[in-house]
Amino acid sequence: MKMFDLEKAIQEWKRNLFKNPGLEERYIIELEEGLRDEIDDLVGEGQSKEEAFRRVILEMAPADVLGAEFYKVRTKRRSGRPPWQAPRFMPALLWNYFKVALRKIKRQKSYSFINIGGLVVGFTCSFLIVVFVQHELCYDRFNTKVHHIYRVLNSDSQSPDILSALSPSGWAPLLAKDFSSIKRTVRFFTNLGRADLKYGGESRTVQGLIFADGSVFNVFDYPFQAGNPSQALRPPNTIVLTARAAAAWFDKENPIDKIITYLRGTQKIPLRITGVINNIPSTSHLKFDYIVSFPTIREFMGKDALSNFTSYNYYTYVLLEESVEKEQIEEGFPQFITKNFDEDTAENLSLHLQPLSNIHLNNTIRWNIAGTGNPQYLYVFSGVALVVLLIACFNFINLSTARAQMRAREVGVRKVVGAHRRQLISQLFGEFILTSLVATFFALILLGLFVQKFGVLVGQDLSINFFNNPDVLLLLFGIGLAVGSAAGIYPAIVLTAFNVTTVLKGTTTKGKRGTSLRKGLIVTQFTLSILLLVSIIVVHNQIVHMKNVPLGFDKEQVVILPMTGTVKSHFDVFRDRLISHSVVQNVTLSTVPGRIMTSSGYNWPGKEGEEGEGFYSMFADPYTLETLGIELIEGRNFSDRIATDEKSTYILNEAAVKQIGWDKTIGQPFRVWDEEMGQVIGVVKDFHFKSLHQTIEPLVIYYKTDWSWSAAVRFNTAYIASAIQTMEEAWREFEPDIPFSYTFLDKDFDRHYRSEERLGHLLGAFTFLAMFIACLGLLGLAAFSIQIRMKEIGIRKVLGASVLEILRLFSMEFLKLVLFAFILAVPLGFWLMHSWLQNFAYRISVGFLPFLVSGLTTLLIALLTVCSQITRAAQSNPADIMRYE
Amino acid sequence: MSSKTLIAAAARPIILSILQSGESYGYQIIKNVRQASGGTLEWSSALLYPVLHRLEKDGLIRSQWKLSEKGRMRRCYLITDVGRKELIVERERWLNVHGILKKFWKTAEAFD
Repeated sequence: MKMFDLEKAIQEWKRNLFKNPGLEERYIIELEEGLRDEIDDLVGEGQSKEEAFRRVILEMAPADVLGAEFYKVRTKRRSGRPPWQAPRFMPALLWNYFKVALRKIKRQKSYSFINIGGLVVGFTCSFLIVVFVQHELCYDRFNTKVHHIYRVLNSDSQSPDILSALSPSGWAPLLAKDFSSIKRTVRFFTNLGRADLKYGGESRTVQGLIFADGSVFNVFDYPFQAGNPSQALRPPNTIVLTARAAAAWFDKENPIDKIITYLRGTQKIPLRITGVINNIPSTSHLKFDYIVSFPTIREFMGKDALSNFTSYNYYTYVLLEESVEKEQIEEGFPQFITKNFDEDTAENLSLHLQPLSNIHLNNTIRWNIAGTGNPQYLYVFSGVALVVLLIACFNFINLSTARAQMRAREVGVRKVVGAHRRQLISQLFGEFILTSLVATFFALILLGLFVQKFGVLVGQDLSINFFNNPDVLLLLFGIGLAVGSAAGIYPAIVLTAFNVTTVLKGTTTKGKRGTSLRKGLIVTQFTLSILLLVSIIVVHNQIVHMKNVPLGFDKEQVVILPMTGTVKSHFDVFRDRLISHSVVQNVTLSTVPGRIMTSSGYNWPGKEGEEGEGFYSMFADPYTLETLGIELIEGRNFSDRIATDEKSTYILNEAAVKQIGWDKTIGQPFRVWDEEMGQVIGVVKDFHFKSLHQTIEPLVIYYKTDWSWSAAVRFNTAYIASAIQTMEEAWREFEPDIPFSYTFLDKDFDRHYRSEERLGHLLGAFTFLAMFIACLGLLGLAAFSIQIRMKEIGIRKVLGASVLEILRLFSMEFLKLVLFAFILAVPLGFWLMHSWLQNFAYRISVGFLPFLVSGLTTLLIALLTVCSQITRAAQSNPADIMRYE
Repeated sequence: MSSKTLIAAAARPIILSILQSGESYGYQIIKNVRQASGGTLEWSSALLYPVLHRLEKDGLIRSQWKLSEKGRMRRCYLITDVGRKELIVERERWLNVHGILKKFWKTAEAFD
């Protein structure tokens, strides 16, 4: 039996104490002395040295407690916690896990960069989209009464599915009278939002002027900065400005009670400023800077403008009692209609209520007050966000599992000292969560930097203030956490599954574990990247196609001028003034393609039913066809020499003729509304007067200049500037007060493709990022697999392989994956793009070219990525590699 | 015997009181306390030495290394003048608390 050696035991005990950073030598000597005294005493009492030593040691606190207590005396830290000890709130090993995780991030810089960088990019993309989607979804919710405000819609019995937002002004007072649970009604009139205002000798054309009942401030939340909300818009000839508008006109002056003049045609309507409100939030579907009191419209819409039942020019909103559901009101509508309207109207009309919160994302309603959001967009964007996020996640999983054996030794050691597998899983899992939280943090910074630029891209005024939106911040962190967990759970399980003995013997499987999964994920990543690439090519091609397809009229070199009453009443003189300049080729007073609306009430002998037929209607003059380059294929044009031409002659397009089904068209009797029967004098070749989303529909061109509010001027391209100047000079002669403004017909027409263009830009940006992340992952994996096979490269070189051969050998491995991804992407992409193109009446076919281009691009990028890694390895001196061990 | 915090709080006046009657060293102080409490109060070195160091740092006691009768280096502690004054203040405090508790317990006994 071994003899107990007290000295040795004490030395051992001291050595242990020395390891503790809190214990200095002088403390240990003191402790030792006490220990020896006590042992001496116990031995004196008759115990053996061994017993005495064990007992004293047992009673004395363990080294770390001693160290911490001694440290406490010296430190200035308030908590007294030594830095080498875990904070008290952390369970036992967590501190160690945390340290190891940070150490890993710090030591393996390039790996951490690829891993975190990929996640950061992925997170930033998806955060941007989350912010956008959230912005779209919370439209109009700044109104405290949002759930009780509804817009009145109507439909007629002919097309009950088409709901229109426009209503006559007379409904609101009747609704308020007949339904006790309708608390308030508000009417709006927009007049397209454009207006000419004049104050103190300066006149400007402004956007965002609307007319509204004074109750608007009782229904919607528009906080006042100055003025009295309850009285502001009650009397006629009053106006309320937003802070922005007030600053634009009056700078720091007080605008209240100033008189601003509204120029409308020849009329000059004075408006007294009665209030200033906060700027309208970007999430309001009603966007304006000027509200004029509703009764003011009597000045130009006629004396009965406030109680009219036939002019559908207004928007009616109602505020319901809080306890009332919209269905309860809608039930009463049929009775309301029969009671208040004549039989004919009552038969055809039905009313509906649309919740305020539903207005922005419902793009099926006709005559919306402003452009709506596109719910389809939300899906597409969310899909793209998900794809980018997936690619980033896959990277994360790939890199983590690939590096498994690097961690294997740590896992092995932890297992040997008694760690449970569950403990290890939670350690590694926590590490991944930490990584994704770090990524989330950086992504939030990037989000703050890019959110406004992204807003421009999607055509929304996006901004984010985390302090005002803690829930958004929470949501984003939630996403970060969720992704970290989703991506971390698998690697955590794989990494901890190693067998201790094999790991510590150093014979780990050479990263074979999970290779097929890794390959699968790479294939998925590249399939998604190729898909995105194909989409941008197809979207781009379609846009180019739409812009270049022959429209059947000439949209180049034409300027559109909005008309005013004054200019129109002297249009012949105005026209002559312009024509006399050599740069101007032709001028017409006409509705222009891209802005043509339907009109009902066309009739001809032999037509079935009494109701007039609805056709697209273009109001024109004798110069229209020539100015716009529309081809007449039969009959004659309008003539200003034949007095009966105006108001009684019609020119139809081929589609209209085909629909009506005449054998011989010219001379057929035809009329609109209750005008006298006129005749068809000509047929024009079909031309695209609407965007290429739609087919060419029947169109009636009608010689009626009263109804067109725009003029088109064809000019000589060489002299754009002088042409514009000529027009402006002529304009000034007739309308000195109203600023001259114009648009180019081709730009005006192309605005129909803006949403596709946006989609294109957005897809472009995200595709780039997705490719970037995928390549980052590939880079990491390539670097990694080469690191493992360094010795193989060395041996191959010694045996005579050239750099090129090694390059080919190793790159093939990765290129095969990209090739496989390509094969997967083709049918998927074809199907996706084919269904997207169904949105367009005039579309390109998908074709194979986009696939070829994207496939080759992806292959090339992947090749470059992989080769950059392999070349370095292949060029290294085999002697260096082989000497390594 | 009593809660940890009470032991810790009482450590200062107890150590000062022991040193009041002459210099002493770590193990002797532990033994003194053990004897005085009849074995109910057992100080560990983890408690005693940090308190000693704290007192020294505050200037209430000072220490010097001496050779013990067994020929080992031993750190002896002595009370300083500041320490003596502090002990008077501490004494007042403890007696005050003691007096209050006594009064309450007397009334409590009356109801028993």
